[in-house]
Amino acid sequence: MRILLKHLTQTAAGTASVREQWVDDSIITVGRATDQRLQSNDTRLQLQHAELRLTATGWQLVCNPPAQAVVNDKACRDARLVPGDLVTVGPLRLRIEPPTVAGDAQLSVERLDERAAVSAAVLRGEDASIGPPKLSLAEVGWRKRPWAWALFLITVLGGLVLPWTAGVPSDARWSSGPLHAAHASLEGRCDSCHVEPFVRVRNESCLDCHADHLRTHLPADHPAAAQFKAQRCTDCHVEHDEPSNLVQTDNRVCTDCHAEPARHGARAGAKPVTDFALNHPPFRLSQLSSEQPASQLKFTHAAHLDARGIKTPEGTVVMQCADCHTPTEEGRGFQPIRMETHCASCHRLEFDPAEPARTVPHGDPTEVLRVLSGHYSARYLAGYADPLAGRTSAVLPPGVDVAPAERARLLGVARDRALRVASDLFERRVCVDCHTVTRSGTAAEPAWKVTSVKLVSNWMPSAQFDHALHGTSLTPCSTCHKAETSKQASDVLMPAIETCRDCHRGTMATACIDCHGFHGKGQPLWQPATIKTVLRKARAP
Amino acid sequence: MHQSILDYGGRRYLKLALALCGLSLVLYLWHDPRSPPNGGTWLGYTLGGVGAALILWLTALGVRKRSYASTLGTLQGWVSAHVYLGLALLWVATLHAGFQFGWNVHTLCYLLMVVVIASGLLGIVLYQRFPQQLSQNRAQQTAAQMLTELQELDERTRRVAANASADEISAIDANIAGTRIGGSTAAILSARDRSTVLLPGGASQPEPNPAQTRMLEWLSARLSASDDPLRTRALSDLVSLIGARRALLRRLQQDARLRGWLSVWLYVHVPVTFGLLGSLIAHVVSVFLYW
Repeated sequence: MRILLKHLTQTAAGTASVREQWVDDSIITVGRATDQRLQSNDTRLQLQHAELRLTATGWQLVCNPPAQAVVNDKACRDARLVPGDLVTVGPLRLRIEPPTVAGDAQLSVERLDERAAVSAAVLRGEDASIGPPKLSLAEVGWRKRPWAWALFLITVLGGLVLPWTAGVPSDARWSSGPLHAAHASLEGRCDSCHVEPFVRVRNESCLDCHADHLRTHLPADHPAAAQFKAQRCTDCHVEHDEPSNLVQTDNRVCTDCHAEPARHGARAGAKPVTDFALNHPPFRLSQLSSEQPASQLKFTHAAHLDARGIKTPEGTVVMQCADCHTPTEEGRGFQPIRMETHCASCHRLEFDPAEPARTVPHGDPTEVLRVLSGHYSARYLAGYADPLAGRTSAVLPPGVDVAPAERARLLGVARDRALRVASDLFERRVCVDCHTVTRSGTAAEPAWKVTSVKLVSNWMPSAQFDHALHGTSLTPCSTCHKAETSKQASDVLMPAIETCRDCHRGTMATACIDCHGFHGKGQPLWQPATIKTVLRKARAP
Repeated sequence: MHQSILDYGGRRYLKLALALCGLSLVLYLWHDPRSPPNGGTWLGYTLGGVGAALILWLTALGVRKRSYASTLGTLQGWVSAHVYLGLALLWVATLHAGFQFGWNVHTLCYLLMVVVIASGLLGIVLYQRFPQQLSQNRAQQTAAQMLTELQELDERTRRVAANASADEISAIDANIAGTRIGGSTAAILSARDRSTVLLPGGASQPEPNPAQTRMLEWLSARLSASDDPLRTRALSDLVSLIGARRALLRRLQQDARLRGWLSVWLYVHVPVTFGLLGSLIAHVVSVFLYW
């Protein structure tokens, strides 16, 4: 019993070719395994999918469960086949052909080419306009490469090339952060500082505006001066940071050297500083000169601040610190104490009970004497009835001229009077209340010398202290200044460092730069550029 | 035995990435610059250099995966390192920036990097489950084979319909012609079936036919009304064929959906990587241009 297998193949041109194969067997096996007669790698097939058995009664299809075949468009597992039947197993289409020679059998085998099948299109119908379904993103138009190129070019051109060459978009988009408020006028004008491409910001760019205000930290002959010469402004003054940190508050700016001043060429005896709260020498206060170690003022805070009040021309008054210590306009410090402004309302320089509004000037003793002489001369010449002059005094009726001799006599009396009053003012009643007064000259021609008063205007010239930042309703002056109990004019009422440390430690720690300047003794680190330099800079091309 | 790229080589690249992150963090915390942390301190330059080198190396995966003859490590190892070091890059770059951001080319570079890393992360998540679902859904068939099967099914359906009546032939043809799966991004990614069918004796306009539902309803109605045994049998066959078609279409849609999601992140990941490279050039050059 032989079986003729006719393998039908569809050529590319569309014509069919037939290859014939005689098989001496009665069973045609179909499956994916390599020992199968009709083998296909199509995964729809099992390894041993089905058998077509040629028996005496005809063809028999036996599928290996759960495999199925389609016989004449009907799925089945086992079937009896007659010529003309079409069996589809996976990609194979088998047709039972009528035998040409008795006893033999014919089977045509057609392999449905996968590609041909797909391109023939599944959902075609007869409508050619409907192609196969688009089931991947690439088929619906997604692309990587054009977008990759586009994004690359956009970022390089828009982020670098165009701002550099054409200025559009603005090179301000290169700024990594906003400028400090002090430099707000330079925002967006990068070339003010970034003068040359790929070169770091030069000191000259800063000094264009700031040269007038900067002082070197050390004198030129200081051993460590060379170290500072190599520094660049931007080593410390870093812009474009957030939070803005144009002035470095880090203590290491100072303590890198001042922790061990001896190693950095400081004068002998310079004390090391590492931290305000932990390691800082006591405050060094201003001293008056050696010739005048004290203020020379007779004054006690305790008397003036008596809680029961003190007698004044306006009655009993309880004085406050602010009655004399007037803050400056910005509130950092206080206006200088002046007799005329702060003392004179109580310490009046009147001398004539008959004319209480008249006062002697404050300051020059000679001038005091001149004013007194003038005052009393006028009085006597105008017919002043001097109750102390006794009988020798002449009372002239109005309009009667005084004879020259009498005039001279009256002037002499007036001068005596003036000297008596002056002596009273200088030595007993007024000046001497506050000042040290020495008398010299003769009894006829006396002279007085008032030792001048010198008050310290700035006790800590090397440090900045801002009263406005410290003075609140909760921090009365007495927190730091023990004025109520001060009974000596020579008492120094400045607080010791421990008073500051009561608050300024731990989380409230204070940085060196909060009190001390860097670019010059007693100067703040930085002073604003003047309008003139800013305008000059703005006008520069 | 399948091994996830996440577990590759005893997770040696996870350890490397964690070591890199840990070292960066320790240095960042130890480093106490006088100004706020930024890319311009020595540590800032160091982390920036490491970050830029990482970006270039991560991008080089695109070259390595095409170099089939390359012996420079296994591709699996490369991908594993790509994943872990790519995630570490986010940490390194954030410390490089010192948490300073603004409307500028530098933050643009950072944002594009975040987009690339986020899309990559999406890819990792998708690749944890979808390939398995994809294999299960395919049942050892390729998409092309499923399409072939669909074609055969349709041919058989047509032949069976020919045994029924002209109405059925027309309906089956309309059903095949009205099948719409895929075809748009949304339809692919949501596996939405937009098929319609114009049925004899039905509405004058094509009716929605998702998952062959309308077609099955129509055939079932005809089947229950049929009293001719031959016709009943043909209709019954058609119902089962359309049922098989419904299952096959669903598998095709699932296949498209899973493949879509497995590739969609890459359509963001790869182009934005090139945007990142461009902005990285702008970032580095502009920083030194205005030093």
